[in-house]
Amino acid sequence: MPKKITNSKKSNNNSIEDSIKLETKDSLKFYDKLLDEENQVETVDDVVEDNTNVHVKEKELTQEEYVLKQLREILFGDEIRKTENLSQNLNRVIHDVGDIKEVTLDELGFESKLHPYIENHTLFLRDNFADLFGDSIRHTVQRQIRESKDEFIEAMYPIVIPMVKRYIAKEFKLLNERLERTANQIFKFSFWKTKFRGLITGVDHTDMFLQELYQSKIEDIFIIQKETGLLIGKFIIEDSESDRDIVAGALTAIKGFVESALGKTSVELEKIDYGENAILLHNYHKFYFAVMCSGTVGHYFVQEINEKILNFAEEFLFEIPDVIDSKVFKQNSQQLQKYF
Amino acid sequence: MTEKNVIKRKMLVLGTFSVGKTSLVNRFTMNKFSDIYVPTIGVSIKKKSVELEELIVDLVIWDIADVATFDIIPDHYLSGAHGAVLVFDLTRPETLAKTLEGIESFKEKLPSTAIIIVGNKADLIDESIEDTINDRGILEVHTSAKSGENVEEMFEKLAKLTLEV
Ligand SMILES: Nc1nc2c(ncn2[C@@H]2O[C@H](COP(=O)(O)OP(=O)(O)O)[C@@H](O)[C@H]2O)c(=O)[nH]1
Ligand SMILES: [Mg+2]
Repeated sequence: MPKKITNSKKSNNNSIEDSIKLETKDSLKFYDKLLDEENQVETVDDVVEDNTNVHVKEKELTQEEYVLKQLREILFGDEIRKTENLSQNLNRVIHDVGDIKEVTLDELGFESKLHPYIENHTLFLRDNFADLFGDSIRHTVQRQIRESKDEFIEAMYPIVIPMVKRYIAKEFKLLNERLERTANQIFKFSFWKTKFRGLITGVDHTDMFLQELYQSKIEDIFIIQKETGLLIGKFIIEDSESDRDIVAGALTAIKGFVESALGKTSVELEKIDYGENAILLHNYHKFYFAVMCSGTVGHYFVQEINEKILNFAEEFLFEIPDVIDSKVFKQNSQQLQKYF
Repeated sequence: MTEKNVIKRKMLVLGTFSVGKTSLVNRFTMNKFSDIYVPTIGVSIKKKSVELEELIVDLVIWDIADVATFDIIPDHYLSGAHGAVLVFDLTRPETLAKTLEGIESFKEKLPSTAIIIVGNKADLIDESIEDTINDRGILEVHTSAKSGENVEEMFEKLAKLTLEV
C-alpha cells in the first residue's frame, strides 16, 4: 500500500512537470519563430556556425580596411594632407570668430535677453508635456503592448501564469513532503475512507486524500453584476477589513482585462490563482459568481462548488432585478447563506 | 425609524492627464490631498456612500487611467456606468477642449449615463477666468481637490442625477 502513495506522488509530480514542460516547449517555439522571422538559421548548430563566420568576416574587414588605407595614401596622399591643413586653418578661424562672438554677445547683453526666452520655453514644455507628447507616448506604449501582448499579459498580476505554475509546483513539492511525513499516521484511517468515497463519486482518491491533508476552504462567495461590477449578494464566512464592493469592482476589472486581452469574446475567465488562494468564477448571462477559496483547490472541491452554484443559479438567478437595492442584496445574501 | 434603502451606483471619473481625477476621488473618499502626481495605471476603485433625504447611494467609483481621448478606454471599464465625472483642468484650457471633443462619442456609447463636467484646480485661477468659461455655458461645476471646495457637492449632485435617469 505505501507503494501506491509513491505512485500517486509521482503522478502528481508528473502532471506539474508536464505543465512546466509545455511552457518550455512554448518558449522554444517562440525562439524558433523569432529565428524564422529573421530568415536565418533553423538549428542551434547552424547558429554557432554562423557566429564563426561573422568572426572571420570581421578579420577580413580590417584587412580590407588596411589595404584601402594603403591605396588611399598612394593615390590621394598629397590631397589628403592639403585638406587636413585647410581644415586646421579653418578650425583656427572658427575658434577666433567664436571668441569674438562671445565678447559681443556679452557686451550686447544677448545672453540675459535670451535666457528668459529659453526659460519660458522650458516651462512651457514642462507644463504642456502631457498634451504635446502624451499621445505619442501612449501610442508607443500601446503598440508595445500590442506587439508583446503575451509578455505583457504575463507581466500582469495576478495573471503571471508561469509564476503561478512554478509556485504551485513548489507548493505541491512541500505538500508531498508533508504527505510523506504524515502518511503513516493518517494512512490507516483516511485511506480507506477516501478510497471508498472515491469509488462512489468516481474521483481519484489521491486527490481526495490530499485534500483531507490540506483542506481547501471557501472564504467568501460573491454574486456580481457583470456589466457594472456591482456586488449584488455576498456570503462571508469571516469578516475582514476589505470592502467587498471594491473587491467586486476590482475583480470585474481584472476579468474584463484578461478577457479582452485574450481577445476571445466567447471565452470567459474561470479561475484566478494567487498565492495559496484561488478564485473560481462561474459565469451566467448577467451575473457571475466568484468563490474565494484558500488551500489546495482540488478537483473534488471544485466539483462540489460547481454543483451547489448550479443549483443555486437555477433556483434564484432569474429573479434578480437589474436595479440593486438593499432588499435585493439582503435577499441574495440570505439565499447564498442557506445554500453554502 | 425605518432603515433607508441603499442603492448601488457605478461611477466613472474620466479626463486627460493630470487634471486631478485621482485627487478628486481621494478628497471625496478619504478627505486627503497630495501635491505629488502619481499617474493611475489601469483603474483604481474606491467607494463612498452618499446619504440623501430618502435613501443612501453607494458610489463605487472607477478612477480610470489617464488617457488623451475617451474613445481609447476599454469598453469593459465603461460598461454599465450610471454616472460619469468628466474632469478638466481649469489652468489648462486645452484639457477642456479635449473633454468637449470626446463627449459626443461618449454619449453615443453610454446614452443613459448621467454626465457632469467638472473644472478642477479652482484654487489656482482667479474668478474672471471662471466667469468667462461659465458665460459660454459649458462649466457645470468647478472644484478644488486641494481645498476641497465643491467636491462633496459635485459627487452628491451626480448621485442624484443617476437616480433621475
Ligand atoms: N492646486 C491644485 N492641484 C491639484 C488639484 N487637483 C489635483 N492637483 C494636482 O495635479 C496633479 C495631478 O493630479 P492627479 O489627481 O494625479 O491627476 P489625474 O491624472 O487626473 O488622476 C497632482 O500633482 C495634484 O496634486 C487641485 O484642485 N488644485
Ligand atoms: Mg489618476
